Amino acid sequence: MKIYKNNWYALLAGILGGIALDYLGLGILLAAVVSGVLVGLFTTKLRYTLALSTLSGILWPAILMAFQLANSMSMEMLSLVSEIAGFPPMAMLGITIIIIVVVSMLSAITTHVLAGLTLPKEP
Amino acid sequence: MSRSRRSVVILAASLVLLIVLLGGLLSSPIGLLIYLMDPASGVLESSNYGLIPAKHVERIPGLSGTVKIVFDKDGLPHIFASTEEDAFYAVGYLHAWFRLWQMDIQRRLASGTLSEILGEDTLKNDIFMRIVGLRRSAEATVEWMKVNEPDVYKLLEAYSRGVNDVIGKLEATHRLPLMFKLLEYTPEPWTPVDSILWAKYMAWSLTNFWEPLAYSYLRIKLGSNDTNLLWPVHPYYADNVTVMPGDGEINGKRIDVDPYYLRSLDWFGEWATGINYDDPKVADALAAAIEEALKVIDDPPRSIGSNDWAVAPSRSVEGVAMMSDDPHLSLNMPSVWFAVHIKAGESLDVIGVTLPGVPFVIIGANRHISWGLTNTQIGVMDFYVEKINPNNPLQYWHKGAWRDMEQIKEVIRIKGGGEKVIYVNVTVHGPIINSEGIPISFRWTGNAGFKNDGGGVTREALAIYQVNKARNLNEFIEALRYWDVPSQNFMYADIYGNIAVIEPGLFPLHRVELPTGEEILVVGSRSLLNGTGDYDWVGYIPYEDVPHAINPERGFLAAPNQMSVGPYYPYFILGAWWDPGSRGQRIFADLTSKPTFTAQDMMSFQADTFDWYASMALPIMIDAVESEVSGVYREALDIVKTWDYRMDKDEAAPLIWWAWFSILNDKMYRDYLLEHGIKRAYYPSHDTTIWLMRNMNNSKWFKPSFKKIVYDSLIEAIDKLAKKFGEDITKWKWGDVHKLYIRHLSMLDPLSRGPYPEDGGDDVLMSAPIPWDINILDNPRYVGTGPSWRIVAVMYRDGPKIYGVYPGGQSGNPVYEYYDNYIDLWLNYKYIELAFPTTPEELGNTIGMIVLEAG
Repeated sequence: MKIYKNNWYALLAGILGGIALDYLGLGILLAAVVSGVLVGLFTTKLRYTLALSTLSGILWPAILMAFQLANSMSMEMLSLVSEIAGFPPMAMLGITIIIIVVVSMLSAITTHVLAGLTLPKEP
Repeated sequence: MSRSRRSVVILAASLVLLIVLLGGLLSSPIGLLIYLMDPASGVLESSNYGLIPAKHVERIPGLSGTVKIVFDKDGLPHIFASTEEDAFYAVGYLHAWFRLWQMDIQRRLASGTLSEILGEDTLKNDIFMRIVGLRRSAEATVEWMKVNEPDVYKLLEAYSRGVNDVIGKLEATHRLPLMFKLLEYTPEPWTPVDSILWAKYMAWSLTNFWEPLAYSYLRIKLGSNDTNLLWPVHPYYADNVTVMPGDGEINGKRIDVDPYYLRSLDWFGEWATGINYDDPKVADALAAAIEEALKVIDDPPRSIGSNDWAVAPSRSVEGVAMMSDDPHLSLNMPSVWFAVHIKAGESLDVIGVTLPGVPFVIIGANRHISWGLTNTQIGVMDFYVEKINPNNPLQYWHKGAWRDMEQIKEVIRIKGGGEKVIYVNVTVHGPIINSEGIPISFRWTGNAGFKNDGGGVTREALAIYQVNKARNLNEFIEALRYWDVPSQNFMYADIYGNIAVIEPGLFPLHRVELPTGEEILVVGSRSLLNGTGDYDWVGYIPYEDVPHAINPERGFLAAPNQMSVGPYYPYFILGAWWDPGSRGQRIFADLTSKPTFTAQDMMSFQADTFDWYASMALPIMIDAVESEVSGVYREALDIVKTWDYRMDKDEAAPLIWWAWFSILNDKMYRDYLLEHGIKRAYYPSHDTTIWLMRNMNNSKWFKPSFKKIVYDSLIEAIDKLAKKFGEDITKWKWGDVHKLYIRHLSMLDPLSRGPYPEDGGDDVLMSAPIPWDINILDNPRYVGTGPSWRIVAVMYRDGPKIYGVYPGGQSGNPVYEYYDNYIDLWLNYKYIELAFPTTPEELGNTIGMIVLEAG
């Protein structure tokens, strides 16, 4: 199966958009929405929208967290907050990423369907 | 379904889901979790807060020159600036850099705005603090400073700029401390009012003595005789260890009425208070009003105190003056203190501890002098019964006329929406505490102000700033002229060999006509007072006459909160809540135990766990039961018989003493108080119990007999300890019950430290109180107060050596090594020698640096 190159752009836009907006301080949910919108705008089929928004929703927070957690003090902070919350650290990370993925995916679908008539289609 | 219809369905479904999901998330705990876990701006980024940078350079508009802040190996910052404004800018910068959330929660506590971030749970505290009105007094003080002390005001402004620049930077980089993120809020800008507010709160927390209310209640319920016996005017064992050596004469003045006659009087009498407690209607109404007032204030337990002393060169092995101080305050994470060295050109060079939120060094030393503080415990708060106009509840009777109360509207915002509006009614004496029953107002020196006009202006910021700069004893004494609240024992030693103790502060005076017709000036009260005008404050003790002593012949001074003066002091000190004297007795024994001392001796006295009360009481208690006991009780008795009275954590004897004496106190007083309708555990202090044991052991306090009550107490104590810790007494340890818990200001356990088994106790120099309540065997209560900072200053002529330590760490970041790195040192009575360099280059071993360049 040949994947139209717009879809790769969509994935890239979703990842970069998520990282940039979160880093600028817009908050994780708004970043997830915008990241999903970017994926939805550039993907060529709904199934790609679903797949790539999921992938982007996993990757961009994972990249940011990997940078954070490379610092041992951040790991300690994660454990501490987990102790305060009474919730395992991995579960906190997992829930966060799942929420980002779902928000990102729903935004992507909405955008894709809304913008479906005006954007280029896969031949 | 057609393609377009399918699209519409998908669109609608995903939109609805998205909206529902976002809406739900934002208002749910999961939303908070996601906010906290945000990798770019969540709690992970807070791990980068409060770190000591290897080298950080920043341009700061408004600085007049470069400021270098160098961190030594212990994490102590040394500020080198060319002007005082730049230096105090840097102090603000450091406080915010390391302790921002602490500063914010403290100002919220003091101003009554906790509910904005914590919700309904803190509403009671907020209402109380709005009634007290510290923010109103702080605002008045700052307005006064702008006009009358503009130079000090400028330093407070510079400090605030330093704090606010860091707030801006932390917000921009998402590095606000963890607690801001957990509580989902950001700090407001810092102002000079906030600094004065925190200083006022510290003053308030050290001098809000509610004893006149409690004693009035006891007088109503128990009658005069028992109240005066169990809570005497002056402690039973204190006259031989007063802060000021001698019989109380000062500047050639002596009281001209027999002081022992004054001590014997019933100061609840109508002649002294304007209140007829013998009228049942009056008494019942007042008891109800006091109960209401105590509900508002929550009757906080008081187990704070402090030690300080100084020795003259004649009593020092090295021939130099030495000063020692350890203020006993709440021990929290982060600590109430932040250590710093501040050098500004040639005008200021001071080292010691600051309060985060306040720019100046509170306890420390400069190149010439050192000083430490303890509370004087003299009453600076009085309570007035107001007479209300039956036709107008907002008018009260004062000096022959109905006067309008000032009514202040206070709006308390509550997290989650909503607000609480209260109206604080203020009379000429001060705010009214209770909303039900006869109105009771209170007058506190911090609100009355140095002009005694109720304006709230006090000048301790000016005083401590001048103390920081003082170069000799005269300048020190002159600086303390402006110290208004809280009244403190300032212990002093300098490089010229002088030692001194000065008790500056506003000590309110009443004019009282004695039953003999004579009129005297009295400090404080031990009862409610009639508010119609006859018992108002007529002024304060003149500064020249406040208790003080300079270079006493005996070669030492000590002020661990004991009685300030001997009986012939020219002003009769009635309202004083002095430590009954156990720590005073012990330090006097320590300081006369040999001819000369070293710095190491000073440190060992701070760690002294000898319980003077145990040494007074146990021989009598043992003697009473010696012939009666066998078995495990005999074993217990043998352990305390050979005990050296040191409250050491690995020993069994302190545990047995604590349990035995706790139960004895219960048996003596619990039923008696309940029979008189008193549910609160208002037990007399231990010196009273010991005095009764030694002087009245056939009285009603020992029922059915002294021997029997002491015997029963021992049996019950040992049974309870055996049940808890087993029959093998050799395995019992004081540290199994006596543990320190350093609670985080948020009360969150993961941010707190401990529990640690700890030496010390309630009545010993190494202060570490837990309740004298046997029930805590099953419901543990931790030590929560103690030596919040230990300092020993050795004043060599060519420059002082300063040793200090506090239980905590410099940084407020809980995952950073400098969060708690001093705790082990402190627990083991070890000290850091505080580096005191004259240039940054003098500091050999450094761990970091901040350079602030004029921008």
